[in-house]
Amino acid sequence: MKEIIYFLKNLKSPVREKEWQKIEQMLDKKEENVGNKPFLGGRNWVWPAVAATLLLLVGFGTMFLWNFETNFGNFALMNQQEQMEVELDADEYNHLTHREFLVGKARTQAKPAVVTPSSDGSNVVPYRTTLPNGENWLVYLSVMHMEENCTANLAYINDKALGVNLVPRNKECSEFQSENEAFQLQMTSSGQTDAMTLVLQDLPYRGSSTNGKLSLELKAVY
Amino acid sequence: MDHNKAKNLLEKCKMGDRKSQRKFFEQYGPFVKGVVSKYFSDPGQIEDSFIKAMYKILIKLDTLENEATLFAWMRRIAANEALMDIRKSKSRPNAESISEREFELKTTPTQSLDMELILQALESLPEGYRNVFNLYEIDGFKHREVADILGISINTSKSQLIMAKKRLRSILEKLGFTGMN
Repeated sequence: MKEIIYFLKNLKSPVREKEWQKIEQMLDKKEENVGNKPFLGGRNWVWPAVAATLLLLVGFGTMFLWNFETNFGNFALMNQQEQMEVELDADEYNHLTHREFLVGKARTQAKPAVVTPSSDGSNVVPYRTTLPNGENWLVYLSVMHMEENCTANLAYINDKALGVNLVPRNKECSEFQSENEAFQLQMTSSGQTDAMTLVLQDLPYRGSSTNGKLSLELKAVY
Repeated sequence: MDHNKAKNLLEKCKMGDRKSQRKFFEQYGPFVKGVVSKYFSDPGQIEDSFIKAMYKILIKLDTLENEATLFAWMRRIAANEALMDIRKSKSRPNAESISEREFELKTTPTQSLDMELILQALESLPEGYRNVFNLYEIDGFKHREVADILGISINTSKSQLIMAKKRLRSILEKLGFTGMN
């Protein structure tokens, strides 16, 4: 048996030219396929193609994300800048609008529209007086002296509009009194100086710290 | 062919040099064809399987790591290619149908005829026996490898090898071979 096995192990069969020609044709065909289709010639071209596609997708995805983040950052920055510019523009607009309003107003009015008790067109004259407690008041009065008649009007005390008519108590028109006798106005002359005294039976408005009858000497402001 | 020439021939074959490949075919082809021919009785099948095996050897020479194992490497490729063709064709009678087949004696007492008789005795074995005998005893595969290649269990491979040797011994004794131990 050993001889048989040895014989079979070293068995050789003669080869023929025809067999070599077939092998050569197969080799030529393989080289031709590899040479003409280097990428598609192999049987495992699908996986490299899939891998290449995935790489392309990942590459595009990464590039897209990078661009998106960059654009988003730029957009955020631009948006912030635009917002700041808008705020600045709004502030500027407000300043400009306000200034234009003031300028326009200055152009249309000779003076600023400062409302005072004496600007109502009547002969109201401001007087200054000092209370016993040291408070300073402005009293606005109008006194009209005519030939046969005279009238007086207590228009304001400080910013409090009163509009109280005072009627004369004598022909000389030296004393005036309100109908309810709460206000009295007395005019006295001593030499070359005239003096006016406002007598208050009660406080004309709340907030004053003084009670009872009060005689106030009025001094012309101008 | 000395070692340097053989190495030079292999390098040129790896590079695809056609003349060297033809020389390789002429030098190692008979060995490869001898391996393949043990698995077939039909010359056409032997030729087809040999061409495929030789082509595969030539295009896979660059995977040969150790040149000293060239023959073992070629033997495995050739055996596997032959077995693949057997699986595809299934042209040979199976073990059951051949088991009762009578071996036809050829009585020419020359050495060449002895070789032919030995091959005929081998061919007369059932396919399963012959394949296990060739793979294990001739081509050097282990029982585990034979079992994997043929899709059988290791124990089947071992038992079929014993039966193949017994049957082959019986046939050769009928042919006049003596001392078959």
